[in-house]
Amino acid sequence: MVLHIAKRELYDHFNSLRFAFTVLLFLALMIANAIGYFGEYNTRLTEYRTKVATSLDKMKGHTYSLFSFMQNGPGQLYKKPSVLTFCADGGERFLPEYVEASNPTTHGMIASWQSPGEEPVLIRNNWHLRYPQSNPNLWDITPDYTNISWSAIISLVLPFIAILFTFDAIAGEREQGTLRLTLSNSVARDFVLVGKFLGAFLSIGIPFVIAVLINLFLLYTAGGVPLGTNEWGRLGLILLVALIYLSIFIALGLLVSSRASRSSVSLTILLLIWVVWVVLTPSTLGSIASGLQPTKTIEELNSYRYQQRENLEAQYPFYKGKGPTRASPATEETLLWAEYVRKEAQLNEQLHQEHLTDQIAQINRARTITRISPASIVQYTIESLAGTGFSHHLNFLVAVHRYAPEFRQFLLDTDQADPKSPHAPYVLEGASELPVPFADIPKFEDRDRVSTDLNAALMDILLLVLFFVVLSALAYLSFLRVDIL
Amino acid sequence: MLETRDLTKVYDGTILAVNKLNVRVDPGEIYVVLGANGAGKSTTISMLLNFVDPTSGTALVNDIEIPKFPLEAKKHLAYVSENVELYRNFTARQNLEFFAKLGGKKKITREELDETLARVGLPEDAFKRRVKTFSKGMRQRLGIAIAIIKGADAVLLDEPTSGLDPKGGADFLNLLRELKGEGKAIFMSTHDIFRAKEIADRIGILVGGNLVRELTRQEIETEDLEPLYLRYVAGYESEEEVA
Repeated sequence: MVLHIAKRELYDHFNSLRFAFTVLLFLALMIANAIGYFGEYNTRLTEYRTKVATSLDKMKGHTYSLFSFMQNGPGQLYKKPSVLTFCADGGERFLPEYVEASNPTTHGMIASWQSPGEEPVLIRNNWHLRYPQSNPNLWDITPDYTNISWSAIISLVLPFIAILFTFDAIAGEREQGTLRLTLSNSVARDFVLVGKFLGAFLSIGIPFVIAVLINLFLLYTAGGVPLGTNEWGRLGLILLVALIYLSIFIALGLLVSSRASRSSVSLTILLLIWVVWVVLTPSTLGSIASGLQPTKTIEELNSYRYQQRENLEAQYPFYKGKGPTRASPATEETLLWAEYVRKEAQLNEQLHQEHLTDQIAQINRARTITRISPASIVQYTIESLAGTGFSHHLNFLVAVHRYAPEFRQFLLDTDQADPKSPHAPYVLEGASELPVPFADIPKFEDRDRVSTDLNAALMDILLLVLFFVVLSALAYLSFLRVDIL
Repeated sequence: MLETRDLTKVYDGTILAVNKLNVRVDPGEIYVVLGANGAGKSTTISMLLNFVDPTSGTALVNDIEIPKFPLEAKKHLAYVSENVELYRNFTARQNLEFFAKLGGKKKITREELDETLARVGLPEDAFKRRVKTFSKGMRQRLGIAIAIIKGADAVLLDEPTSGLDPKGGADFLNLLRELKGEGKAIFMSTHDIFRAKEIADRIGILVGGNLVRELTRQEIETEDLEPLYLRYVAGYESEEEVA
């Protein structure tokens, strides 16, 4: 019986103007997406490879001594572009594309002095992790309308189309009188509801999936987007998420349509919900939430950092005493200076990390609050599944934080392996003087992390399912209780 | 057989739409409920179809309690509304097939569909025409075709002849007579006294939700129905005074 009703709904939809509009809209948007991202991945990948190669070349230049690495670090660590950027750009342009794992000062000096009749003493600082605030190459911050991502199409257009197909599903039939005739038969109301749901779902889902396949065909054959098993798996999940999201708005449409006295009232209510819940909530609520607990200002940050450094310096009163020497085993001064330099780098890294943590917490707060709208949830889920945006950036940072201690440990081990070294490698005088074989140095590579991305998306997918279950239950109860007059 | 027992509906706790209605329609009988707008005719039919839950009392079809077992009961009920509204983008044949399957017919042949459409007097060229091009009379015929093909034992008609031209109305009554001949229990609401008089085996006059008078075929033929009805509708006299 459900299929019988769904078939009728399908026939009705397929013969309607709104169906023709939907097909054209999906095709136009998906083709525009494909064209917008033609060659985009190759360009980004080439840029990424060039930057990584430059960074490695720079690293190669430091192989002459271990201390050179202690001072300069591995250099800039780059984030790899995702193959599926066309699915969700995720504001990648606004996120830093690398982490600085180097020395912030040109000459890298903490202190220098010369006592009369003695050699000058230079205390150089070590590298530490720093996080650029945004992409330094970004000059134009206006929205880019040429590149319409899947995420935008799914989060904004799908609910609108769902509204178009459901606003009159029940209210219209009630106005027309066909609902009385239908329900005068031995048909359970829930069957009618499920039939209508399936009719709308297939009428929107089929042209959407076809448009998606055309989009992928264009990108795969002419757009230079390499799609492997991993990408197909991710795309399948994105499609599944889109269909769950579509179901949410079909259920909402049926709920409102079953309560509204007229289809015009139903349409007005649904459009209002669309504007507020889908269009406005994600952006406005995000801005409000970010403003509720702002991060430190530049002045506050600088003052805080200055204070922390002062505290550290106060712990080392030898500041302008004796410098480190080449003596092996290391003298007390050498060890103290090495400890000070290590702590100074550690403190710098910690201060940057604290600020980054604050920023991440602020963004996460905003993202949590905006999850009141399924449009935000679907955007975050698609970003996670596509391996782009904030979620990708967090994964990248995790990889960087895993790499940095590995790199440091490598330097310490290399120093330990040299019997001539005083084994206080944080200062020039205490470090091994042997060259470091480039091949042995651990290199950073931003890898694809399917399981992490899936984990990040899982909670959001469950939230979407929850929205669907709640709205479907409400639509069911509402339609079951409504008087058919 | 169709029956109501003290069937009552009060909307929002205050508006009495139907008050303790007791009616019985036997197989092969046409029962007409006469009443003005707001008399409770449509509410009664809505309760018989379980569109609205009764406040008290009950209704039965073939001894099945409609409010308790609506899906089972509706297998024995067919319904024709005042303005038979069908799916406008469907042809007559498609509408009939859709509602026949909804009514429980698992398999239905094209011949059966065409036979039923022809039986209600629809011209053959209308079978494959979209219903949006149909006149009201044609839609009423199609509505009857839907009721016929369902093969239900009881047929509920809510003001089915209103707005029909004289020929359309007469043809419609002939179709009802055929259904009566097949042993269907027919319950029809109307405010068309002349057609009620013509077709009814019994007439019930409904005023303000109360069944104020029931007339047998013999009384219908002997009494002057129009002034009687008008007296009740105008509320000039109470049922007791008339009696």
